[in-house]
Amino acid sequence: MSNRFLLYLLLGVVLPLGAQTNNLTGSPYSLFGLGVSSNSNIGINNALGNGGQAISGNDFINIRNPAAFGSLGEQNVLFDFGFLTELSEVNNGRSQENRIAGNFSNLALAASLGPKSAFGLSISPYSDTGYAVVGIESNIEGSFENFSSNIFGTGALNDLHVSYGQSLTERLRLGSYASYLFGLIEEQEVINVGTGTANGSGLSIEERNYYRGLRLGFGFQYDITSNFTFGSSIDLETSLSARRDRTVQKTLDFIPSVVEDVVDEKITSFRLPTALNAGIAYKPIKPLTITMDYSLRLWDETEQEDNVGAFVNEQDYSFGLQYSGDPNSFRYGKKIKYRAGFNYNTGYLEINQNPVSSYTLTAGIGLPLGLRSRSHLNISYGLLQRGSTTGILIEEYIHTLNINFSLRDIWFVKRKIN
Amino acid sequence: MAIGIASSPKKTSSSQKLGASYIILDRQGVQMVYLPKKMGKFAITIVLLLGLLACSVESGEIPTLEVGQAFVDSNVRLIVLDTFELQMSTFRFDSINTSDTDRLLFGRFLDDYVGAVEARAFFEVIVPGAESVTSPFELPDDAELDSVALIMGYDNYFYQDTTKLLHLNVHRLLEEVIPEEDVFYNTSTLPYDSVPIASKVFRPEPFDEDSLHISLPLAFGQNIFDQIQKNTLNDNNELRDNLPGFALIPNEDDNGAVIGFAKNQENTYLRFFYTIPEEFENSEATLDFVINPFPETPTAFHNVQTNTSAMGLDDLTDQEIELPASAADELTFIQSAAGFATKVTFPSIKSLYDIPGTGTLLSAQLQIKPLPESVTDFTPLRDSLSIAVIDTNNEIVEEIRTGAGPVRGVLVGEAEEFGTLRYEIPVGIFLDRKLTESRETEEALVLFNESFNETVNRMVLQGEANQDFRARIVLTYAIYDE
Repeated sequence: MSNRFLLYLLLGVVLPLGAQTNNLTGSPYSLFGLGVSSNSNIGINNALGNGGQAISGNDFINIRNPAAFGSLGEQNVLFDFGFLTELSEVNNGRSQENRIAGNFSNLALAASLGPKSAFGLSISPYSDTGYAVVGIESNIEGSFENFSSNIFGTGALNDLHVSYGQSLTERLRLGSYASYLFGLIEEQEVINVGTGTANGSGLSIEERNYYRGLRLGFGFQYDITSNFTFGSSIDLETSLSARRDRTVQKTLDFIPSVVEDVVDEKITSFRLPTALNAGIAYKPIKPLTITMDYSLRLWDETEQEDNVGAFVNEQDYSFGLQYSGDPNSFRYGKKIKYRAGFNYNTGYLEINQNPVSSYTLTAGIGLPLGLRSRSHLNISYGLLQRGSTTGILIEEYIHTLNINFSLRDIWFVKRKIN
Repeated sequence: MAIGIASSPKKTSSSQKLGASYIILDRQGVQMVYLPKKMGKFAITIVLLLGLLACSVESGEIPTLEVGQAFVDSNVRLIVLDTFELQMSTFRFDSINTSDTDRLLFGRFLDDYVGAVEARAFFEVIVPGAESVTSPFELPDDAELDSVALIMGYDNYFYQDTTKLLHLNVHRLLEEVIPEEDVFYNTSTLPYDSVPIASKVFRPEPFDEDSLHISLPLAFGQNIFDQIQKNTLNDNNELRDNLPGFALIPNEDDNGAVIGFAKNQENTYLRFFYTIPEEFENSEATLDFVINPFPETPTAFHNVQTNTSAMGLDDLTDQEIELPASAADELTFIQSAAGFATKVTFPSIKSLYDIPGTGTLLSAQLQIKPLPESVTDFTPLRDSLSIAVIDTNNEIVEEIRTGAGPVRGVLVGEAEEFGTLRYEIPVGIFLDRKLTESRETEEALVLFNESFNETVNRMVLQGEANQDFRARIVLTYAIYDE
């Protein structure tokens, strides 16, 4: 195969994926709020149970804590792009459904600004919406009849993230980020009255909600000892302004008509809560890294309501292990990195006093892209279990497959050999 | 930024021999990723696999969820309301066009509600297309008139009791059948000779017999027959001078049925039976005069009038006068041909918008029940009911059409006991327009029978405050924004 051919092939695969709207989930829980937080991830965080406040950023882009960019080192550039495929099993206790969703998921770059500072730029999904709930039966008030509706939602919020990190001392790194969150969530509800007096009638409501807002965050990492690092960061509360296009159409006695067609109407903004994050990274022996993280997202403070569920404070616990072998070995097998993680998230949504919590088990592998290379192909698998079949909730098992290329090499060094 | 992954770069370099990969930003700013040969192939395979996976999941196609409806609520509330005010009344159309029908109504009956309903037929007979025929008014000199009869073909329509005797009086019109305003109405009449040419007492047999045979006096026919023979009557105009037409009038005290006669020349005609003497056996022949099937102005119509109503309908002398159901035992009336119709108004429909939230009308069904006692074997219900929009003067403005055709009221519950029998009329299109109209109009609905101008079907409807079943409007309203 010629280089040119491969180039075209790659462009042909990557570009259309990037161009289409993200649809990285099929979770019915994405009905709420701005959808489910994205399972896609840059670098290795998701293989480590989504944690990594204290992980150094010299081999991988770590956007969990902007301070990590302080350890990129001089004259380095990291480039990361990833794909996500998600297979979910949805279960309400009586029946089960499978669905698959997947897409190109992120693009990230980190580059040194000097020996002790670096910046990062990334674009990745922040939250995903993708659901289709059909056959929702509701009572027609004032009668014994029901009507049936189908609700479809699609969309995503994207996160354009600019980070800056600096090493202040040998041990302390500070960082901050600015994140521009933007996206479109579309929802369509189609109502078919169909029976009784309203035969031949229906209603369709299409809403396109555009959100955008800026979020700021700060973080630090401190090496307490050479093998023990503490990291912490805060994501500040922010409000995403929202505008809506809405088209309401109806069919009355078999005649279709437009009821409302409103463009760019200001609607209630969505508030993202303050998040307090802390974590440690510990290396008891050289090849092994243990990470533990805790996050608290103060949804209560946002005082928001959703039609069905209530927003509650969300806590996120994660635990991760990485076994690195010997990165400097000349044997390829020894350079492979193995990762495993566990995550428990209490969820920010409560339906009928039932919290929608989730557990995730992750496993990953980092394959070096060459004996001398510190670039990696990272493949991680996650099994997420969310919700339960108690009450009216549904339970989801989500298998995620994350694949990303984390490319790292000397950028500014002059080529010595031509 | 363009990315290229090359499995074997053209330039060989020592770094590649060592199996390392490099990101190199060349002078054009194009970043190239050089991968070792082996790893490169592996990476490409993965990328291709991923690409296939990603492509196989189409972004527009979201899997449907049959589970999970329980915790998902519709964002829309549908409400059914049947308490909106409506007002019903009876009014009378001044003029029903009764001359562009295929039927002539004749007869008389007494109705408990409407009173006496009397139908009189007026028509002219001619030789059709006489102008194009060489000599239509030609009779052999030796032809002898045997008899003359008016044959009125039944068209199967009847209303009320056909077992009772009717008196049919054939009168000679004193004027030609020419309308004053292009058409004749149910109220139109023409002067006729008060002494009938002939009278027939009969029991209508609209199904068992093809036609009613009314013998006319020979003297009446001889006059016309002779003139034709003598060639003093040579065309339709000369015929009209002699015989402008007939009026069929029932007796004033008849109480039987109203029946329908066909207008067409195959079934209804004035026939002269005559004989032409021949050497061995006389031959018989006929000469027919019929109702002109293609007249410039109509030449046949029926007049339908009512009187002595027990419900006060006689007072409706003008189209704008209304008899509210509240003043007529909570009843309204429909009487075809005589012009009575039921008006329905919705005085407070816009208060639908007082319901909090943003919403829209999804359906509106008018439910009206006929008065049970008014339905008998002689006065059966029809399956459907016609509807139209009328203005403040009670003039029909337009008919209402849905996507499925013109709106009709449908009789439902027929298979069940009478308690549930009612007409259901979808009036959503009309009410939706009333709800959204910027300038309020006084438009209302009128209910009437099908074939309004060629039947005498009567209907008694229970009004909005009727004890048995109050007429109601059932609205389905969707609130999509609280």
